[in-house]
Amino acid sequence: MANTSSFDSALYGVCERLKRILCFLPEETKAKTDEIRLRSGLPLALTADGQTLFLKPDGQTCRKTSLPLITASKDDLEESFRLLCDNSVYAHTSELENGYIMLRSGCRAGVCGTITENGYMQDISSINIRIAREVYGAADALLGHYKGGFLIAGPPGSGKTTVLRDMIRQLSGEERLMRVAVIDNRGELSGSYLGQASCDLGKNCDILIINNKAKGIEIATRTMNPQILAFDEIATVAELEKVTESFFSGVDIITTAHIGNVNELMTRTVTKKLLQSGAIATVAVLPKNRAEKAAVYDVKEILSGAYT
Amino acid sequence: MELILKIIGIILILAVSTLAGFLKAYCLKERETALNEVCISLKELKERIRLERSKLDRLLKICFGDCLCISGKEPIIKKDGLEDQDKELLYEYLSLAGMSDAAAECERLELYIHLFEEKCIKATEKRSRLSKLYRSSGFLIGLFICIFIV
Repeated sequence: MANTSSFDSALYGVCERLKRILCFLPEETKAKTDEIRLRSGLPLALTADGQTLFLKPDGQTCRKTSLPLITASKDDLEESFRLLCDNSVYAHTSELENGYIMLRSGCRAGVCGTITENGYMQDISSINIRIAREVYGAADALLGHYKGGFLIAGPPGSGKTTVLRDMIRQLSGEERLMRVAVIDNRGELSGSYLGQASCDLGKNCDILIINNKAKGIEIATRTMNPQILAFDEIATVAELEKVTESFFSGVDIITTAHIGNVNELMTRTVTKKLLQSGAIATVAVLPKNRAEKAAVYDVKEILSGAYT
Repeated sequence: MELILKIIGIILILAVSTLAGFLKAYCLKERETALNEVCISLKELKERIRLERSKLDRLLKICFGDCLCISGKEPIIKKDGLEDQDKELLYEYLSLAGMSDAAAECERLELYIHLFEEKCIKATEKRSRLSKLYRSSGFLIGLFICIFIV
């Protein structure tokens, strides 16, 4: 039986009119859906297996925009926004400044609209509800290569966050019980909502939710005494500096990076410096097609220029 | 027998009219108390939004208890003692509550606190002016009816 609980739990943030239609989708479709997209005046869209699907009035999915399709109106978006915020927009101010809202189920809704001068989001024009799914065993093939710092790289949509989540779970789980501190700046890794993590990150894991990842790395290293620091998407030089400091404090790093292929690792400044710092021992590059296997590289090979 | 019935009737009329007068005076006092409580609750709500930033339905439960909640989009007001115009003002606040950032939410609350404080002042004046009048009028009207009947 297909697992549709993640899909169903994300529906509380969808307006009543569209929720009634989405509830009656086939279980197969629900199980494959990664995103529910509402756009003002445009057809309701689902992203499943990397493809965009639209809904016909009879509830069937299709890929043609020329057919009559179910459309989200401005009122639908306003109602959905109100539901996503639980009638408390002020409680999500810091999230909205970064363009998202965390849902109760651990899913995340990206929000587009007009951002005012003081950073407040209004006139919502589109909402993208990303359905969080845990995949137990996603990191099985990579864990055997773990020998210290680990970088999970790949293009968008390749499953980096899913693999990272499973890796954290297994490393802090019963078999290894390593002390893992997770810096989760959007709550996406842990699916945290009001202090409760909806995703399983293992029994020996501490979760710090903070907007400033660099500061979070510093805090977690000093206060939680971790053996491993894990966070999603190393992107800035400030984060890289904190990572290097933590590494020299004896803490292993596991993180992810957006790259198209292994050649880009040495052409992008942050990833090049990260590999040169010595904090990373192994790199796994995930393919765009999730059915294919990830390629695993030793950092020394990459630094020697074997893949440029 | 007729005399006894008359006496019973007089006592009943006096009791009912006096009670009516006292009830009317009590309503004035109840409204004043309810408006004061609403003001205090709104002030507490404003501080909690400013400092805590918790969800609105939780904050409403803390500040107002069971008197007030938002079910879906519809506010539900169950506070005793408030007149229809008072409930309408509260309804007006609740229909858009929670839909702005913290600073705007606090400013909006400040406005409604000010409006309810004005209502409180007028209710207090009305009570002090009319409460004794209603109590004594109730008794006197009852007495007048009794005299008229007798």
